[in-house]
Amino acid sequence: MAKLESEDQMSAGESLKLVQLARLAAAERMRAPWWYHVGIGLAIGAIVPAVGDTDYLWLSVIGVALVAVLVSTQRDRSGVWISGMRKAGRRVTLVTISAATTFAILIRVGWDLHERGVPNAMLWIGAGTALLATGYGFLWERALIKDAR
Amino acid sequence: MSAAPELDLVIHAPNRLQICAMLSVVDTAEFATVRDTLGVSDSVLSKHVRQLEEAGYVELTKAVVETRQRTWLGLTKSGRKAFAAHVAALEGLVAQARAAAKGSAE
Repeated sequence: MAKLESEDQMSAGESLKLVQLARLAAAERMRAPWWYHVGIGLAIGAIVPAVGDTDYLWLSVIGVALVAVLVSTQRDRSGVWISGMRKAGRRVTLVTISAATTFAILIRVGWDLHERGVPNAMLWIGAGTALLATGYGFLWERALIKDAR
Repeated sequence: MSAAPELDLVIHAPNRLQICAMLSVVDTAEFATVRDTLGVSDSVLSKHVRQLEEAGYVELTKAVVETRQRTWLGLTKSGRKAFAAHVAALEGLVAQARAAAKGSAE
């Protein structure tokens, strides 16, 4: 059996326990306050109407600015940063695909309603997206923490 | 008999192992966050980070936030690969030890 020539001759089992503890500590850091998910949900909801109606471009600018402020605040607050660009775990991938599909369907429906002349269709779709995005935010965080463990 | 799994001695030291484990689940972590989680001093963490950096496993980025300079640590691609291989080696050793214990009990 290979000899562990570490600084303190730790056993492999002890090392794995340390790995698990450090991962748990990092996972706990990922927990965001409720207002973060609500804020991100509102921001996404503000971005969506401009996709179907350029009259709401000003709203999407506010949405993008809100995302930037919230993400930067949360990064400084938690001391950890997850860009979402790295290969994700199974749960995170599932939530991301599910959220993207739901938003795509909502935007498509909103676009159709807007084309049919339904007043403020994209605004209503934006409000619906905000609610769902908030829910997905909490789900995404839960999945992220479980995958990290 | 199968070949013994190879351990990475740069990573295996307890503090460096924990640094890599923390960084493996995030993109970057702030120096102070890692220091507080490990419960070590700035100088001790700096020493370990330097060793990981010299091995090409960790990279540092500095950013100024509200006039304060903050250092962020992240695993490099080779760092992620080396850490995954190290954990696999540890798991292999645990499995070997279990199999040996089971064999001697029978």
